[in-house]
Amino acid sequence: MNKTVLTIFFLLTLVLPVQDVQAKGKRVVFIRYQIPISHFSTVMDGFKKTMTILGYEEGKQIEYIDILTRSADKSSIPDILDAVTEWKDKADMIITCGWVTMPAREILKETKTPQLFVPTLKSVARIILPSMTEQPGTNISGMYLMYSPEKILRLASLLVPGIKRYAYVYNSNIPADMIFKSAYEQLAFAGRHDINIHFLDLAMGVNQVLRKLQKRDIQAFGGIVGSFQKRQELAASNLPVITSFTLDIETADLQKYVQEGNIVAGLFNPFRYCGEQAAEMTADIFNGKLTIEQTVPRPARQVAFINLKAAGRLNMQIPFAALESVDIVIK
Amino acid sequence: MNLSNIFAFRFKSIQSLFVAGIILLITIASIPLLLTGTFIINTITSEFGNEILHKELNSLIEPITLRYKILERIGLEDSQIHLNEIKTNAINDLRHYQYRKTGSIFVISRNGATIFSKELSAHDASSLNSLLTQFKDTQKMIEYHNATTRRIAVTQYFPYWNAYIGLAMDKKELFAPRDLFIIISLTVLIFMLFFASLCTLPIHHFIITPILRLANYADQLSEGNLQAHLSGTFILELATVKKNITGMVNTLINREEKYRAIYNAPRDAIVLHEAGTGRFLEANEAIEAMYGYTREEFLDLTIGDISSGVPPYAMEEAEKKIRQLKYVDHLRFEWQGKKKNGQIFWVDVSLRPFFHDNQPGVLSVVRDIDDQKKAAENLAAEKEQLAITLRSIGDGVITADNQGSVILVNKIAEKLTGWSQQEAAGQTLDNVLRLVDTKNGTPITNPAWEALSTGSHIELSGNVSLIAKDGSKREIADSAAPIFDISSKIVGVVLVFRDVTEKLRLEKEVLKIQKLESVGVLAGGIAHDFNNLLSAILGNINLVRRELEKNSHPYALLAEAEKASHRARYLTQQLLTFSKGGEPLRESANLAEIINDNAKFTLRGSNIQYTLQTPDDLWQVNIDPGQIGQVIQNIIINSRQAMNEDGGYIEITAENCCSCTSNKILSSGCVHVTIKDNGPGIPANILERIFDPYFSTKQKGSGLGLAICHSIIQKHDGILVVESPPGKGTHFSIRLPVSHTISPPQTASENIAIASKKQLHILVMDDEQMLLNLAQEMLTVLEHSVETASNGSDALNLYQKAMETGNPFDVVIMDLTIPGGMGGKEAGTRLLQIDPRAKIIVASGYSNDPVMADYQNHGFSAMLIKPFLLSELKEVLAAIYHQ
Repeated sequence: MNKTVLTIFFLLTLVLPVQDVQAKGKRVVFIRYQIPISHFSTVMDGFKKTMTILGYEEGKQIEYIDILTRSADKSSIPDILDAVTEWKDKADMIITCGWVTMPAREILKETKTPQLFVPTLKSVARIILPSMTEQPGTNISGMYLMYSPEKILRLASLLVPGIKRYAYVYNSNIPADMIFKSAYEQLAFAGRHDINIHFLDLAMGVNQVLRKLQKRDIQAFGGIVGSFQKRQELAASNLPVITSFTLDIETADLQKYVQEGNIVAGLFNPFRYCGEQAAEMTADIFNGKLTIEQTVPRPARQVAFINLKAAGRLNMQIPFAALESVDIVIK
Repeated sequence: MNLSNIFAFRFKSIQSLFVAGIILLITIASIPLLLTGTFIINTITSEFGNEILHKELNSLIEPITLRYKILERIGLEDSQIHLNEIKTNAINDLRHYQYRKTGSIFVISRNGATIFSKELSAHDASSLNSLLTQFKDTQKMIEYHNATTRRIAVTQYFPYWNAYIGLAMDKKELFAPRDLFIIISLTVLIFMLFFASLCTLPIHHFIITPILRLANYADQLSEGNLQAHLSGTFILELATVKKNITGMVNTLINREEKYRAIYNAPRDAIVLHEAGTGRFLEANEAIEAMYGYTREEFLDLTIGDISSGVPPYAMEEAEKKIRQLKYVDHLRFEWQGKKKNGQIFWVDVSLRPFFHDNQPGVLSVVRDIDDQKKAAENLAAEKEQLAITLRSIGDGVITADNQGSVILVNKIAEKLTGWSQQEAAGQTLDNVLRLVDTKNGTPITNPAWEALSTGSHIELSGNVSLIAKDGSKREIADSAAPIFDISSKIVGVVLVFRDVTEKLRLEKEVLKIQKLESVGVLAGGIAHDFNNLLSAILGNINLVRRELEKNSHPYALLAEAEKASHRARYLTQQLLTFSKGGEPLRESANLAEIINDNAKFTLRGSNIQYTLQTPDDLWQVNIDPGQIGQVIQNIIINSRQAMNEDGGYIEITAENCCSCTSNKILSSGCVHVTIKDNGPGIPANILERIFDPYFSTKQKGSGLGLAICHSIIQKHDGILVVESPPGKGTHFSIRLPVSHTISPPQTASENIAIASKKQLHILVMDDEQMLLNLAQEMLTVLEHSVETASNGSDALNLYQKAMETGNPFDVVIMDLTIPGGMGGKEAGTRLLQIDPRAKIIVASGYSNDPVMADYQNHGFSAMLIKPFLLSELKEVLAAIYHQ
């Protein structure tokens, strides 16, 4: 009996401290959606690792709730709203990845629960917050991505001198593509670098897009989510793809994704870095250094690359000025 | 040793002056070179240093800027990671950079925060901010102190960091070449000064010492010691100089003696004065003869002592003249001097500025001109007297030289010719004295030429006119006479002339008046005879009318004839008035009738309308009706002639006036008559002259009409004035004194009744038998007994006889004028001597004869103007009888 009691007591001593830590730890809820390649898992990885370094070991000082939506499109919105409703009062921090931030914000803006967008496009972040360089003054901050349409067109004019026609290929069913399309549409004349922008919707079918690319004598095109998903089919156009990646691609994995297809150059933001930065912001809030209202949004790390292999396939001459400017040259 | 001693020491000799000069020369030559060189090097170092440092800094900043530019190419300019990386790497590079020995880089943000600096970190915030202000001027080189050294820096603003990047180095290192240049230059300068000092020793011995001896010798000479001796060794050119100077001294001694002799030779006093004060410095020997002072005494005097002292000849004026020499190089004037014995005398003074011992002075040369001055004064006085005499002569006098060039023109000649003395002097006589024939205007040869050629006195014949400078013309009487000098040679001519225009005009006027008087006498004679004839006509008509029925046609015809005879009687009265201008025969009369009759008569046959307005109670005036009628006629004739043939309008008014003027006579009451026409009026410039005798604007006017009017009104103690307001015609205004002796309103019938009370014994004297007959007839009608006489003697005889026979005459009627016999005036006087109680009536056609006008004072009881009417005769007889 005593042996049994002692055994039970011993087991309790092992269990109870865990329960105590869990009871005192912070709860961080990740809400992310289905988007290739890894559905923002690199964000979580970077976040967790950095938090651990900063003294928040998972399962002890911090607990993570990871919610992944069923799809990448608007059909996931009910899932998002349910998750926010469930956790809005129980989480110490809710991290929303990508366009999920927008529907989640509709609920969280009525609460005091801190929200970090990790990451969103800068254009999306500007819808939520008036400034990216000042304290938000509300319960949301985060990391924003900086591959604006203007930068892509600037890169296109550098790589294809005299380019006049560029196509933005998107999928109208994907919110991220639509948001980016809106950014293209709102681009000021000066920011278009004398390039006429054509909008081609993959929802009409890839073949239709290919025909239009040819018919309109497009000189280069690009896109984010939709066009990345259809990159192999679109390679049939034999047109250079100059684009930006909103995907959670890491620098080390870049070469793998551009081996095939016509992606000649682009900008991307490694998502892991965003997770790491979000962790620093969260730790500051948890440690009481700053409140969420005082936490200024941070930019993602930008990386520029040129794929000489694709350029070679397409017989493109890449100017030296472009080569010396980029971070990565894939030979 | 004070400053003055140092100064004295330096320039005590040529030697010290030479040394000082050498040092000064070297210094003056070197210091500017040193300063200029230093300045140039400094400037070059600053400019090039600034440029080099800027270039160096740019070479450091350009790669960093390029990195940022590369980011912008592909849109990574906002990638904080990239930006941080570039900045970190760049700052790390800059931190290890070193320029030459002391150059280094610093970076200071725009808000003053030090990003990194090896040296500026020691500066406090205020000094750093001060430097930051200087950094903003990135074109200049900035200078500042750090802890140990003086640094200079250039900066550039780097916008990517919002900071200033600066390259600083020690100033000493940058300006090392300049400092080296200064050290070398100063060393050379000191060496040169030392070498120059060594050179002065032989120069002193061989050059300066002989020069000093020469200078000393020259000093002695300048002090007047011409016997001074020059010793010592002289080499080269100095030996020549010595020889030349001693030669010059000998020459100078000889010349000094010669000039002194010349200086003392003239009789003129030569005096040297001090410029500022006029003090005497030197004088020649002539001063003693002129002023009586010895030379030594004279030099102690002042100018005031040798001047008369009579203003302006005193010290003050003399100083003033000396001061004037500052502005002129020569001054000459006369001065009243005073000798030692007090005698005042005139001198001629000539002043000239000069330099004496390098001091400004005045040289005066004084000449005694007392005798000359007195002679000149006498001559001038005589000349002045002659000029005054000439210019005071009442005739024009012009003198000219033998070439006919005018010398003198006196005042009258100036006035007549229009040439002033100044204008005429030097002109030819023909210009100044332009003579023409009065009758035909042809030029006449000036008598001066004939006088000059013949040497005799020439007088101009009459009818010579002088054309004055202004073109006016006047008749002159002229004569010319040659002027002879002592040797009887003709040296000029004098012309004497006078204006005879007025004289001739007066002569003409007198002639005219004489003619008029002749006409007047003739008119008077005719009037007298005419009067006699009228007396017969009028008297007989008068008598015949008595015989006729008043309503009969013959009676009316005779009445008209009688009226015409009356008019004729007035005409004769006017003729008589005109001829003698006699006193008015005043009687109390009503002007209205006189005005109306004369106006009507004058305007007969013209298109001129006239109106006469008079009050019913118009006062009587004491006038000569004939003369006043003549006045009215003349004025209206004047208006009629002034108005055009289309006619006009004359408005005449007569009104009583209580006290219309300040005139004593008129102030007790007058009748004011105005005659206004609507003619063109009289121009203002001739308005005042229209009453002048012989003034007429009409070609055929005598110029006497209005003059007679004025004369008549004046003799009536009245006033005649004329006004001619522009555009309102001519207004004549006549004021005549009111009569205070109103004639008793006796009618002729009453007089007749009175006269008929007594049958009178009447003597009538007249040279005209026709009139005697008429008088006899009239008096018979009046039932008087009548006897007649044809002259005064007969009348006196008859009167005396009648007295002796006891049938004396009650009344004697005498004609005033008996041609070739005793007239009424004399006969009346003698008759009164016979019978002082005699009642004598003087009768005459000369109504304005003084006797008629003042018959009572001539002893007459009454007067009758021929021709007279029966009623008038009866009235006069009644009056005498009444008396």
